[in-house]
Parts: sequence; structure tokens; C-alpha cells
Amino acid sequence: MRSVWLGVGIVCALAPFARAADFVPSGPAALPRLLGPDAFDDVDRSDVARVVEKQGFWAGDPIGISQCASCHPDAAAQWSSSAHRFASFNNPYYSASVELFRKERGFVGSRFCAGCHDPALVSSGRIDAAVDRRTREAQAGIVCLTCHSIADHPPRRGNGDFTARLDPWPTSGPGHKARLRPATMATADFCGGCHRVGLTEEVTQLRWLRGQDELYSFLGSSIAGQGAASIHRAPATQRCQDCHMPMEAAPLGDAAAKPGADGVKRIRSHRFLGANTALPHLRGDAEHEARTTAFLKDRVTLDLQLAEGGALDVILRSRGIGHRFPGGTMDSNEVWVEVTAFDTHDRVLGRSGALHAELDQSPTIGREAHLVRAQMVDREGYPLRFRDVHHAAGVVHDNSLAPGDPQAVRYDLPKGTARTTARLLYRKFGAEYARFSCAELPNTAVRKRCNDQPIVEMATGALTIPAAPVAVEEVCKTLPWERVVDHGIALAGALADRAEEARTWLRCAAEREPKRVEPVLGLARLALVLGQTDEVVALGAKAALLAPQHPAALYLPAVALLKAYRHRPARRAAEALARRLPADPNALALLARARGLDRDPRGALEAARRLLAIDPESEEGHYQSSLALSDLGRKDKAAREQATYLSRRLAVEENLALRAGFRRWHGQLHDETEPVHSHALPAPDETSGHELGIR
Amino acid sequence: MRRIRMTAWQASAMALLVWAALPQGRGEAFCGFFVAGSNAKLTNPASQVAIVRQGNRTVMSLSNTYQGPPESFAMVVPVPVVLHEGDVKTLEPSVFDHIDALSAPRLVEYWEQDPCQQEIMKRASPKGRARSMNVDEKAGAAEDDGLGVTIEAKFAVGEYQILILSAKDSGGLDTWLRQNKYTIPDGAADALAPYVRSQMKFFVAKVDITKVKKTAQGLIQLSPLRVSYESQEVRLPVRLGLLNAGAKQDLIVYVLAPSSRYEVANYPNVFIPTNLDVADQVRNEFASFYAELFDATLAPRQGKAVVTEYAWQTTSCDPCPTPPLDSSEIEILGADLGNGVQTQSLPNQRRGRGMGAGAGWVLTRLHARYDKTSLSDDLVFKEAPPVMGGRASWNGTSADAGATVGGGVNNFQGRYIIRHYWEGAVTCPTPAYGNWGGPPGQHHNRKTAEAARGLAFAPRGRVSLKKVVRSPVPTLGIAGQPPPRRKAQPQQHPQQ
Repeated sequence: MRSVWLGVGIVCALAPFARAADFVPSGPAALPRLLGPDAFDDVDRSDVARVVEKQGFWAGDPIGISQCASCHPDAAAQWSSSAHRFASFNNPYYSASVELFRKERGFVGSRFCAGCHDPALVSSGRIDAAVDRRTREAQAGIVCLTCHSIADHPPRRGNGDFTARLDPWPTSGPGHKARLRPATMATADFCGGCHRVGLTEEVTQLRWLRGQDELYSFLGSSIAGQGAASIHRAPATQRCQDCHMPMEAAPLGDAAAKPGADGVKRIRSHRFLGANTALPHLRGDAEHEARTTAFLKDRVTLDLQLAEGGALDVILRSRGIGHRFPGGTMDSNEVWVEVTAFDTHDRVLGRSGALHAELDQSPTIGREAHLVRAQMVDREGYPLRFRDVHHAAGVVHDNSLAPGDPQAVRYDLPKGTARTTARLLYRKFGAEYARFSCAELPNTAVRKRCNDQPIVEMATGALTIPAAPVAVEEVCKTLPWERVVDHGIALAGALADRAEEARTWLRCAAEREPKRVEPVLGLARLALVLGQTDEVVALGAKAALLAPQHPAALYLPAVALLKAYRHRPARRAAEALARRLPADPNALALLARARGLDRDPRGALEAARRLLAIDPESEEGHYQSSLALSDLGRKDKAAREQATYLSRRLAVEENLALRAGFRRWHGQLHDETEPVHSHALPAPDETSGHELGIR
Repeated sequence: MRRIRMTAWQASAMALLVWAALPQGRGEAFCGFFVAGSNAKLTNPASQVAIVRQGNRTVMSLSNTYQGPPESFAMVVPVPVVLHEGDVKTLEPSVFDHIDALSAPRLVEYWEQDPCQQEIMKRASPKGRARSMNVDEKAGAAEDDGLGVTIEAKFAVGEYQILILSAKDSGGLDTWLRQNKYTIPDGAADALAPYVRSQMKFFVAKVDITKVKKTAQGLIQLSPLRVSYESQEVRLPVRLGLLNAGAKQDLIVYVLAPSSRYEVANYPNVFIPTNLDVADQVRNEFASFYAELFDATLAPRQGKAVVTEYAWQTTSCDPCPTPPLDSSEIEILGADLGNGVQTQSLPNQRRGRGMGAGAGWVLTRLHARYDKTSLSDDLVFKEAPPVMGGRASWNGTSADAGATVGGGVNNFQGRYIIRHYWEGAVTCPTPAYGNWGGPPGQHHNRKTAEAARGLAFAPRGRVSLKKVVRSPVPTLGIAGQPPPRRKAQPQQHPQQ
């Protein structure tokens, strides 16, 4: 299963430099078509310019909606508070980063970022020179006609590789909708045009690297109807639009609104709610901030349970998220676990993840804290601190949450701990990045607000520690079965050395809920980790009796059989799996490998091509293609595939070198590369102020 | 690191130099294979592996013996990563000698002390017994514890000429091997394909036959090679070693870990029966005796199991056939790479035994003897709870009747005892039998324990367990033999 590791510092797009999002027409003629009358302005006299000079960005009347808002007032109003509107130089968190990029990779090079972030500047071509932030095009963001003009986007390539038609369009009638709201807009692939990123060799000047990729993790999830490896299945399939553009009442009389069963007219929300709490807070948009906070709440559950030996396990599980959490720029999102241990007198014995107050700055998080994120580093293994993706060399660990899969974080409790509390906290950016991006804002109050990002309490938990140890077998009987099985599944994800610990939990869950398939599949996953091939096959068969259509009942045995060199039965399982989930990237990768080992290069090539249709950059897809083509005697094509494969992978040994560099930098975090690693709970110091700014 | 950049032609030439002799002969190693320049059969009947595991870091040292024609050959081992010069070291065979001697099954010889003298000593010096107990208790307490291929490096170490191919990118190595006809010997392709398709790398070490040492059995003893890498599991690809294997492979795995013993996760684990009293003749045939005991232990499982022979804190041993491991030895085996940053020792740093990186670690010795009908899957290892067994009491009696899992400390060994019962005159009305020590007149001089060595080559079929094992071992169908009739006899524990 591929690890989708990171978001990049900015939702950067387009490769190579010379190529950006295409706007037809482009140049001076494009801007008035994209922004309408808003495109014309006298910078030296405009309100926009004055406000930008004063506070650093424009958040007044939206720019570039005048052509649409008269008929679609609700969509325009909703969009005006969205992160899409504030994607460009009207977003200090982006502008600081892109300016750093432009300084080192040049103006033309920044098309890589601007294709998605700065459509107005790209369409006019002004991105290729110094940008005057005071202009309306720099403050417009991703306007209506950016998305609604996209006529073509190569399938699943991402990086803002699209063509937008800006020639005149029908203002009403069927042609209007056909032109401005094509069917592709309702697909995940459309969103993936910008929410899938590959850092090209031109960007890193080192190697190609996968950037943020919500599309891959979505297409491989059970929420998308796939999810070969997922034990927990989503109750219903959903698209990106179902979560991020839910139906919302249209009180302003939007022409696209349709009445629901209750008679209320609604449109797809154009607020594009996600997790950016920093932007609405910065501009004082309490409503959008509150909506974003509410959107985040309960998306991840947190459970506290004692592990064998008395350690505390914090079990995290994303709920109803169709991609890894955090999504987007997961290397800069700050999601962390705060755990506190108290004695019988409620005195704090130890705390991890405490916030440390900084004078006039955002509080920082202790380095001992567990961060739910991917860690991107430069070629020396140093963490990227300023979302400077052009310095990226790789990712040293990825502790983000896979859709629906539980993760365990372990804490060593101080002696005398009587009770513990834990919270999962979210802040859009780390304190250091906020300081960097807010530093140039001209207004002190605005700068303070920029630094003072909200912290969202996503989930909480508490646990009383029994005076005498209680056996896990007894504890598990008292807990809801789903918590028990989640603990087991999470522990089964540990190093094989220690994964056995999961068995007690999973057996307990299986005994309590003999008709549920999840505990059986949890045991199968454990057996897979431990190399117990026959056990995996037997458990897969048992799971298939309980839930005949569950894909993991085929996936896990197929993987186990392949690892044990039993190619023919592995192939049978993989073929059945791929018939059930014909568009699952993990299933197709498995099928390609199994067919190849079963000496069916033609079949392997077919599977690899299907995989590459889902992810054109798939390392595994190119690798299996190259092997199959070689076996078929098509040497030239094999060589080309081989070259692509080599360019799309980060060799294990290079990744090890990055990790070694990272450890030199931060010895405390070296265990972050291990699943189910332990954290300490250091005694609190005077600077800890964990109640700071939590919402 | 000396870095040699080569053109494709030069690289091909180098490939030919190393591999010209490869496709004909082939022999099996535990997790790789040998290739020689003739059709001669190469065999590798005994392999030892030492694994140091800390978190997800693994340092693996391989010690192989080789049996074949007196000509140079190459050893090919799949490894998860491309190894750099700094990742590959040769070790002195003495490291393996020491770890083998320390952990091997041991034979001790006890003489029963004068049952009446003990009574006299007790009365005269109550501290004598206490001191003896204290010594043992103290010991116990202490135990709580690319294709334009680059040859990144070419270096000769000992008898090896090592090529680290395409270290810049592991995928390139695979391609390079294929394009330069390093294709995998006939018959091995099926076995190798999963490794290739899993993007494993092949580490190539050419052996200069003129520089090797021979064992007492006339086999070639290769210098141990040490490699390091990170992985989510400890997995030994034993399957490769079974290519065309006709005979049994003998594999001993030593695992050194900071706090836990290890066992295999995907095959049954059994403990060797221990604390067995054996007949006097075993003294002369200890290795053969142990080989029979080992085979008998595996027989009920048709060889599909791995035997735990030793699990003990590195700080001590009892009895000690050889001193415990020096912390520097543990570092040599890989503890220095545990945090991913190689440490350097101060030149004048003096290390005491039981101190430094290895203090308090656990050494586990696992032993498998297999062929393609018994172990077909790669071995995966996992941590296991502490085990105790094979220990002696203060007075030389057996403190246990075999392995007990679940204690706080790892104190398990294969221990076999030749007992010389008191045959002298009994001069007191209440003789206290069951106090064991050195030969008559040398009460405190128990003989040093003898370790069973060279087990892979021990002659089999020469010792009858039923005849020589005096302790009852129900699991092996051994009734045992009662001790001589006396007024009072020390209690015997049946094996579990």
C-alpha cells in the first residue's frame, strides 16, 4: 500500500516551469474576461491598493465576481469567505512562501505555484515579473471563472494542468450550464486538478517528489467505494463535493438553487469548508471561522486506554474523512495530541503537547509532542520550516491518519498517575511559520491576529487509572467493542517485533462480536505483519463468510501469499479483488505484481496501465510496466518505463540518509519513524499554558 | 569512501570479472546463494546470523561456512537497501566464536559432596551457606536488568572483494544486474523473482579462495559480514538458501536487543529441554548428544519449528563456558548503529564487562535445522516475554525443570549435568544428600562448563537419548533413570 505522505508548502502546480495553467486567450485579453469589470483599476487611487498598503491584503468587496453574482448571489456570497477566494497574494500565509520561492526559483518558475493559486496573474502573464500586491489581480484569488472555465484537464495529473476557455459564453439557457458547469465539475478528478501535486525536478532541483495528494488517498478509500486494505468500511460512498460543497440554503435567490423535500431552495455550498481556520481569523470573519471549526469537530475520535504494562495508548481514528488527515499541506498543518497525567490530588505530574507562551507570539508546542503530520525535510534532513518546497528532498515520517484506520500513540505514565486527560488539537500553521509569514504585514494589530491563530479542540478523552493493574482481558470486556477492535487494529500496525500485543484486544473483540468481520480482519492484518501466511488465508476465508463482499478478506490473503512466494493462489485472490474493486490503486498494484510473478507479463502490463490511469505518476505502476515490457521483449518501451520509474521514486537508501540527518537534528524525534512509538510525559514547567487560545 | 565512476562498458567489464563464473555452480546459504566457476556443487551447511535490533534499525552480521572446490566464488545476498561502504564491515570470526561459546548448550559436571560433611559445615559455619546463596542471589539481582551504472564503491576486506552497485538508486541496480546478464541462475529465478519484484537489492561479495580460513571440519570459514538497514520487521529470507538443497541447513540466529528476547513469529517455537541429568559418557560425545536431543525436540513438529536454546541478560552467565559478552563486542555487532548515528569510541576508552551500549541487553539464541519440506516461508521475528530455565540452585541441584515463560528476567539456557553421586562412607545418622560441587577435595572448584560446539557437523545416530538421559522427559518419551538408592534422595523434576 502506498504511503501518501505530505502536502507541500503551498498548493503548488504545474510542471515544468515553462508550462502553467493555460488560459485561452491569455495575456492582456484574458484578465477582463476572467475578472470582468473588476480587472480595470488605477492602482495609485484604488481602495484596494490603499487597504493592501495599510493591512497587507484586501478582504473587502470580492474581486472578479461581478459577472456571476447578479444571478448567483448565494454562490458568490459563500465563495467570498472561502479559502479559494483568499488563495493568492491576499493570503499572507501563501504570499510569504511564494515570494521565497520566487526569490530562489525566479518569477517564471513560480508558475508552478501560481497555476492554482494565482489564476489572474497567470492568465495575464504578470506572474512572470515582480507582482504588485496592490493590484486587483493579485488580490482576486481563485475567482468563479477559474473553475467554471476549465474545459480540459488531463486525467489525474494534478499540478494545475488545465486549460480554461475564457472566450464568451452564453449567459443563459442550456448552453450556459453546459459551458460553465460541465459534468466533470462533479467529480473528484476535477478537484484533483489542483489537490494533487508533484514536485518536479525543476522545483526541487534534485528529484521528482509527490506533494499533497488528496486525490490518491480518496480514490483508494472506502468512501470512494474502493479501499482494498480498509477494515472499516464507509457506510456510503461520497465525493469531494459531498463534504466540501454540501447543499446549503440559498436565501439570496440564486438562480441555480433547487428546492429540496422541505421546499427550501439550496445550492452546493461554495464556502469550500475545510480546515483553514487561520484565514477567517486573520480577517475577523467569525462566521466562517465558526463554520470551519464546526466542520473539524468530531472528524477524528480519540480514545484513551491502558496498554499492557501500564502505558497509556491514545487511539486516533478519522471518521468520514475521504483522504488522509490532515489533508492539504499536511507538513505545515499543526495537529497534535496533548496528554496530561494527574495524581490523586489533581496535581499535574506530566504533560506532552503543552503550549509554551511566547512574548507577543503564537505559543509553541513542546518538541516532545506527537504531531499528526508528515515531516518534510531538505537534502540534509532538516525540517522545512517555511514551506519552502523547492528545498524538499523527501519525507522522513508520515504520521497522518489514513481514512478510517486507527492509529495508536503511546505514552509512558509517570509513577503515581491517578487519571489522565487527552486532547487532539489543531492549528492551521505552526508558530514559527506564522511568524515568518506574518512578519511583513504592515499593521501591528493585523500582524498579531495573523500570528494568533485559533486552536481547535477536535476531540477529547479522559481515563481514570485503576489503583491495581487490571488485565487487558478484563478491561476489554467493559468497553464498547468498536473501541476494543480499534485498539487492536492500531497495535497491529506496530513493528512486527511488538505487534503481538494487538492479539488480546482483537481476540476479545472477536469473542464479544462473533458476527462482526472487523475483529477477524484485524487478526488477519496482525497475522500478515507476523508473516503467518496460512493464518491470514484462514482468517480471510472466515471474514468472507461473515461479510462476503468485504475487499480486505481478499486483499490481506493476497498480500500474504505473495510474500510467501505462493504466486498462483495470490493471483487468484488478487484477480477476485480487482474484479470487486476495479478502480482501486492498491488492488491494481497487487494484481500487476501477482500477474507478473505468475509469469503473465501481458496481464501484468494491463493491470499496471489501469493503475497508471488512476495515478500517472505511480512508482509501482511504472515499475511493473517496465518489468512486464521487458518480459515481453519490448526493450525500448521497458527502458522508458524504467527511466520514469526511477525518476518517480525516492530510493529507500536515500530516504534512510534523510532520516539519519533528521535524527542528528532532533534526536528526540527519531522514534517518530516507528509506528506505535512511545512518548514521555515531562513534568510541567512554568511556561506551559495549555489553556491558551483553545476553541 | 573511494568512489569510482565507470562507463557502461567499464561497468560491464567489471561485471564480467566478477560474474564470469557465476551461472554454472550454485550453492545455498541461509539467505543468499553462492556461485562458483564450475559445475561443482557448493554447500553451506551451517550459517550463523547475529541480529542487533533497536526500534526499526537492524544490524545483521552473517557468518557462513562453505564447502566446495578450492576456487574463488561469489556470495550474493538480497538486502533491503543498497549498502554503502560504511554499511558493510567484516568482523573477526572470534566475535561469533565468543557468542557461540557463550550461548551454546553447556555440560557441567558435579560431584555430590559428603552428606555428612555438609552437616558438619552447616553447624560450624552458618555463613558458608549464606555466602553461597548470596553469590547466586547477587548474580540474579544483577540480571534484572543507474543505469549509466556507477560502481559507488569497490573495496577489498579480508577475503572479500565487495561491489556496491548503483548505490545512488536501488532500482538501477536491479536493472543493471539484468542488463549485464547477472540474471539469476537457472532454477533460482522463481525464488529470486519476489525479491527482485519487491525491489530488494543484491549484495555481491566475491571471495578470494587464497585468503580464507578453514574450520576443523575442513570447511571454509568466511569472515562475518555486517550490514545495517531499517525495516518494519526482522525477516530472514531463508527460502533462497533452499535452492536445490538436498541436505539439512543448520541455522543459528543470535538476537541482541535492549530489553527483550526474541522468537520467530511465523513458526512454532520450542524450548530445548534443559536441566537434564545425563550419563557420564556424554562427556565424550556432548555435541552428538545435543544433536540427538535437538532432533528429538523438533521431530514431533516435523522440523517445522525453531528451538530457543538461550535467552539471558548480557551482563552475566551461570555457568559460564566463557566470559559474558564485552560491551565492545555488542557494539561491534551493531549496537553502535542503534540510533542511526554511528558512534566512535574514544581511543583510550576502557570498557568494563557489562557496561556501555550492551549493558542489560538480552541475548537470544535460536536454532533451526531445516530443508525445503520444513521451512518454506521467510522467518519473521518478534519480541517474546522473559523465560527462565536451565538454572542451578545454590547447592548444585536443578532450580527448575525447564522453560518457564513470564518471569521478569531472561535466564534460560540449555544445561546438562553429569552427576557423580556420593559413593563414600556415610558417617552420620542424618545424611544430607544433594549438595553438589567440585571433585572430592575441591568442593568450590566445579569444573568449567563445556559448550557444545560445531553442532551442525556433530555426528548423528551415535547416542541413544533413552540410554544417556537420566532425568525423565515425558515430552520426548524418556522415562529417565532413578538415582541410586539412599536414605534420602534429592527430588527430581520431570521435564515439561
